[in-house]
Amino acid sequence: MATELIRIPILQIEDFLVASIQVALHDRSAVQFRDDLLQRTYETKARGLIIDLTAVDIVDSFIGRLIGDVAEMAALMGTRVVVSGLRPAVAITLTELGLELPGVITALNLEKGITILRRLVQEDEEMEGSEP
Amino acid sequence: MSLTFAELLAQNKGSIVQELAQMVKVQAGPTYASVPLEQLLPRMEEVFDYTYEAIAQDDPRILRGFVVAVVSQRVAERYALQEIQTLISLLREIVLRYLEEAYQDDPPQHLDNARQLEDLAHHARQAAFEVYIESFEEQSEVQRRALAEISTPVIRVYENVLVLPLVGAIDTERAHRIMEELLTGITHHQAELVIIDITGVPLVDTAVANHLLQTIKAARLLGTRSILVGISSEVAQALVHLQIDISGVVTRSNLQAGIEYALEQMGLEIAPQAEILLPAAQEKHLESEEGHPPAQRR
Repeated sequence: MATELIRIPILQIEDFLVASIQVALHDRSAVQFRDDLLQRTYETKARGLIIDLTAVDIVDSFIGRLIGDVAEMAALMGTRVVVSGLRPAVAITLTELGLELPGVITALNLEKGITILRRLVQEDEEMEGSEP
Repeated sequence: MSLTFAELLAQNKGSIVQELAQMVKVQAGPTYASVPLEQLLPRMEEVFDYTYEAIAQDDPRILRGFVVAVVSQRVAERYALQEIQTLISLLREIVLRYLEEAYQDDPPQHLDNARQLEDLAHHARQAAFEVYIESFEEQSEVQRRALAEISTPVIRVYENVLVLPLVGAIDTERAHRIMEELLTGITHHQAELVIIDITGVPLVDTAVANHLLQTIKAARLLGTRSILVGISSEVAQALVHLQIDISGVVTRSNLQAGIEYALEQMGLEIAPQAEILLPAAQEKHLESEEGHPPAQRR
C-alpha cells in the first residue's frame, strides 16, 4: 500500500478534545486516527470528545463502524463523545448500511455539539457529586 | 395527359384549397369549426403550398418540418390530435380524387403518384403524432415534478422546529425523497426537532413503517430528534399486528400535541395572554375601542 498516512489533528479546548475530519479517510488512516484519539484522551483525561464530520461527504461501512467503536471505547475511559455535522447523504448511507450509531450522541454542528457536551459533563459532575 | 403530379396540383390549387378549407371547417372538429372561413383559407393555402413543394421536389422532409412547427403551435392552442389527423386525411382524399380523374388512362403512373401521396400523408401524420406525444410527455413530466415538490413539504413552524406533514400513500421512491428532503431541510434550518405528521397516510405496512423509522434514525444521526404524530387507530392496530417496534420514537396523538411537546423540550410553552384571562377587562377594552356598549354586541 503506497497510500500516504493521513494524521487528523486533535485539538484541546478546555476540558474537551475536538477532532475535525476534513479529508476522505482510507482504512489505515482511520485506524491511526482511532489510536491517536484514544491515546490523546488518555493523556489529557478529557471529559468530552467531539468528532466533527462537517467536511466529510463519503462514509463507508468501515469508517461508520469505527466511529461507533471510538464512542464506545472513549465511554469506557469516562469520556463523553458527540459526533457533529453529519451531512444528509452520509446519514442516509449510514442508516442504509444499518450503522445507526445507537450509542453515539449527535449534534447538528460543532457549536451545538459543545453545548450538548457541556451539559452532559455537568450532569456527570452533579451525579458524581451526589454519589458519596 | 402529359401533366406531372406537381403540375396537376399547381393547376388546381384554388379549388383544392377552397374545398379543403370547407371540409375542414365542417368535418375536422370543434376547434376548426370555430375558426371563420376567411381565416381558415390562408392557413389551408399554406398547408397546400408545403404539400406542393414536398411533391414537386419529392422530399417529404419539407412538409415534415412545416408540420412540426405548425402542430407545436396547435398543441398550445388546444387543438385535438384527431383534428390535425382529420385535416391530413381530408387533404389526402381530395388530392387522391384529382389524381384519379387525371390519370384514369394511365394506371401505372397513377399508382406511382398515389404511392407518393400516401408516403407524404404518412410522414405528416407521424410528425403530428410525435409532436403531440412529446408535448404530453413534457406536460406529464412537469406535473410529476410539481407533485413531487408538493408531496414533501418541510415546514418550519418555530425556531429549530420543523413539521413534515405526509399525505397519501408512501412507496419506496417517495420514501427516499422524503428522507432526502427532510434531512436537507434539517441541515438548512439547523432544526433540533422534527414533527412527522402521518395523519394523511392511509396505509402503514411494514415497508412504510421501516421507511419512517429509517428516516427518524437518519435524522438522529444529524443530531435531530423526531416526534411521530397523527397515528390513527387503524395504523396503530396495524403496527401492533405487524409487530413493528417503534418504542424508541416519541409519539403524540396529533400535530398540536406534537408542537406542544417540541416547545416543552426547548423550555417553552404556549400560554394564554393575561388579558384574555380576565373577561371583564376584555369587555371594557372592546367598549372603549369601538365606542358602543357591550349590550349591543351580538
